[in-house]
Amino acid sequence: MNAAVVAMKDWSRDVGAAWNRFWFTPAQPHTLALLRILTGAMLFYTHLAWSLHLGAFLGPQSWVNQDAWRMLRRDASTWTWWWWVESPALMWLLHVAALVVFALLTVGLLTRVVAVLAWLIAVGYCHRLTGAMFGLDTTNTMLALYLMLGPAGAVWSVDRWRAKRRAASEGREPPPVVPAVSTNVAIRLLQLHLCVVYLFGGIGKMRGELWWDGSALWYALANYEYQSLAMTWVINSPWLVAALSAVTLFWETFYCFLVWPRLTRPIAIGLAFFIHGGIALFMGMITFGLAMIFANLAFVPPETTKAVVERFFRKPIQPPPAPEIERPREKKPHRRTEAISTRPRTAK
Amino acid sequence: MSSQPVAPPAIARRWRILISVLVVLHVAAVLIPPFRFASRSSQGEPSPLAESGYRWLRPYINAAYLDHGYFYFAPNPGPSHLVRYEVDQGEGQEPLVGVFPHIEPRRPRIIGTQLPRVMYHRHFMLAESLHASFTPPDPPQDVPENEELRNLMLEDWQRRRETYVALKKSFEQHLSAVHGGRPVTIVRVEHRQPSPAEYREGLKIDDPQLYRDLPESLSETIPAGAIR
Repeated sequence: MNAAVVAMKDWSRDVGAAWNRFWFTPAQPHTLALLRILTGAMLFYTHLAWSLHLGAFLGPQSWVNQDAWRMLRRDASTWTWWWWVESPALMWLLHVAALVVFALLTVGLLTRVVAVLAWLIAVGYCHRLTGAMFGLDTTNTMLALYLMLGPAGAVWSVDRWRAKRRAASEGREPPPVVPAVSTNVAIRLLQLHLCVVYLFGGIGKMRGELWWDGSALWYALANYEYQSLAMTWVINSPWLVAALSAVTLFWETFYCFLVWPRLTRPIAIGLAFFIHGGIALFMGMITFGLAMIFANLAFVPPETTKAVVERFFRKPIQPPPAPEIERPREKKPHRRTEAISTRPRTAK
Repeated sequence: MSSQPVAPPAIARRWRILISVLVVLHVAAVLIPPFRFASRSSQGEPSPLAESGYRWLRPYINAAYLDHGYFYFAPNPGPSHLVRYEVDQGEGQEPLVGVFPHIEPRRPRIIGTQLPRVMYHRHFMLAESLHASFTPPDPPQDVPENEELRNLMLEDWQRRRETYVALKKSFEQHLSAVHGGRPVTIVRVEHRQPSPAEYREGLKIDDPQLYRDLPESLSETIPAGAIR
């Protein structure tokens, strides 16, 4: 009995330690900052597109008018400012303000404030535009939700640039980029949310007979309204259609298990790139495919993100030019020649 | 996240407890809506467990836009739904006919839809939403004998029917406003994909046979190929 109590105590202590490690280990902000840039740009583009049909979707004679909207949202406790906007001038003013907020989020100016505004605005559009929403909007609002929880503008932002410039003008070192618990909480929540999305996407497919008989991918690719590049040639390889259907089914269902272990994570994320890339290219949902790929970046450690992004955007660090080794015309101490010789040694 | 050695938690215990409680509530709010959606029976009733959790967290779920099922292309990739509209041009004139989402068959598929593509999808989703909300005008025939259950079922049918009628009317009013106030009627259209066998036999994915106008009443039947 005593041993059982001790074992239970040990177990609960381990659970508590694992919980703390999972949620409260400070993390560097680079992955969150990359997500800020990508999500901000996606929000900006997605909302910029509304500009072409603003009156048709938000005006008084919109596709879904107030009566229909009230019926559709009868059971939901939602609110949006758009129902108080009747003047086209005010509608445009608010729309342009929304675009400015998304642009500021992308470049990282006043990030902590605009991240909150960006989420509120994105959700406000979603609540008003019931009936015209799809997976893109679900993913956009998911990403925006977690960006406001952490210091998404701590690096690669105008905020950071201004902090450096201020420090330089005051003759001091710029503030260091420090790991933060809030960054970790934001990223962890996004990771878990993504796992829920895939789990239920997989569970939904598990119920469909076409995902099991291997023809689901055919019916997705042969959908004329979705198709953007003709992929109907796959019918010549039924095994390929069946294999891709099965891969999609099992990857989506088991993503929430495969993405955590270090060994299987590259497979889970690699398949996400492959499948969402396919949706973007062949099924015309470029924005949705990209947004889901962005969300998968939450599983990339910040150190990796930093290394990859900085390698991509910066010129490769050149070794300092090797000074000419002094010829022994004048007699110099041997020790000095050794000290300045940085030329890589080559095999002779 | 960090690959560095794990340091002791950097925040005070009381903050950790508060954040933990909020995290648990939020994750529950993320998890419950798809669970509720997935647990719906054929009668549309979700699991009591999911329903009670949903009721508790509904204000937050709704406000944060978390009420989703995530059943993308599930359970099966089904047919598409479009809307055909006919604008009355006056006596003796042929009605103006349009379809959304609109595809231009003679142009390459990558640019043969409304651009930007995301706006094409918005119109596509409108057509799909109208179809998803469709409720026939006839009350359900197979009602339970229990009066309370029967009334609940009829009340639910009535609410869903009102929603469909309001959405259809809203679309018609919008299209009428776009076309100078002329009367507009809309028809739901279903476009199914050919089966692999049909495709091998030469049936193209945009063949007129694959389209059919959907009836507004369950007693009505409309043959396939009626859209073009």
